[in-house]
Amino acid sequence: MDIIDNFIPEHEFKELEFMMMSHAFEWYWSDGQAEIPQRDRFMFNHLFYKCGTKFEDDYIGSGPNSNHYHLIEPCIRQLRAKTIRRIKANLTTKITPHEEGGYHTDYSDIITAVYYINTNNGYTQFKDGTKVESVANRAVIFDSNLEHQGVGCTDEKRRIVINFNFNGH
Amino acid sequence: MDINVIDDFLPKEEFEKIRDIIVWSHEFPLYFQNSVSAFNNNDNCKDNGFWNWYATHCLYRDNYYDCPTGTDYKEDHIISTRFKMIYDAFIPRFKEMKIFTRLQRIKVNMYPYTTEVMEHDPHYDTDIPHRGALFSLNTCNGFTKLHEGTRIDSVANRLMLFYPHYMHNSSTTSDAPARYNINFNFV
Repeated sequence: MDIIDNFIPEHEFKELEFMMMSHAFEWYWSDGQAEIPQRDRFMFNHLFYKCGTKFEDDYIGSGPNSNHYHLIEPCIRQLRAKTIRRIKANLTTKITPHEEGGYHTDYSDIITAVYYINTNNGYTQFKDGTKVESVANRAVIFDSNLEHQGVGCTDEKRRIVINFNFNGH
Repeated sequence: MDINVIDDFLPKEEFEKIRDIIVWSHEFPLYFQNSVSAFNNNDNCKDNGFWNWYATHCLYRDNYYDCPTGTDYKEDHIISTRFKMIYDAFIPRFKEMKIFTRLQRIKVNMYPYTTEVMEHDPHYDTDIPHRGALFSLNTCNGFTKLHEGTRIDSVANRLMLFYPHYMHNSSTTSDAPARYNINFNFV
């Protein structure tokens, strides 16, 4: 597992942060996080890169899915992603203290990265107990088979992360 | 104070079609707004105002009231692909009621679940006298409170007609994942 601060150059991060924290960025309702469906638990998503339907060894219909895709290209460059499976942003809000999203894996046998847009006291937790704090412009990169969960913040109105799932070089 | 509440405003099928396109939709974009009332950001309120946000989707916005003669809206002020659907469902009915001449704004609001119902600070939409309509897309224990204290509950397919240039306030909900409504401003 690699934790990298100042993951992309400051000016590129600022541009991405400005848009994603603005009232001009599209968010889509999502019923719940991972394996814990509850009526009072919700989040918002923004799909930057869509995973298509698996056909033989390919995924048909995969591709950029957002008008803001260019803003995350610096991250893709830094990740040295060879092929992308899915890139999705999550926005969770403060509802009750430190809500746990539920342990899960996004995909098997590829690489997952969680990239933090804003600093808050939420974190990414791994089953071995490792906690990665939400720090703006930080990325944590790990084997996608590692179970992890997002834990909500209590000191900000929202916690925004981008999840990258990809094959590396 | 002239307030009208009309239940079952739309025919059931038409209501359900609109509701299903907007409410809990994974395809209807919402825009996060950091505060609900421009008059006070509530950040010093209970729980530090962490609940004081909402998500919106503006379909039409015109800051002026100068539509060309013979038109009730301007094409270049449409800002959502869903405008026509909402316009067609509501505006002809407002015209039949003889309460509508020109459109100023249509906006979808989504207020979040909170563990107890929280009231936002009072505000007025604009100080120019005009009419407003608030249409509830889902039933929940959130509400709108008017300046003289009247409380209008959120009941699916209920339309409330009121004067948005007077102070009023919204609330969150504690018995649903969110409270959805459509806000119309017109003259």
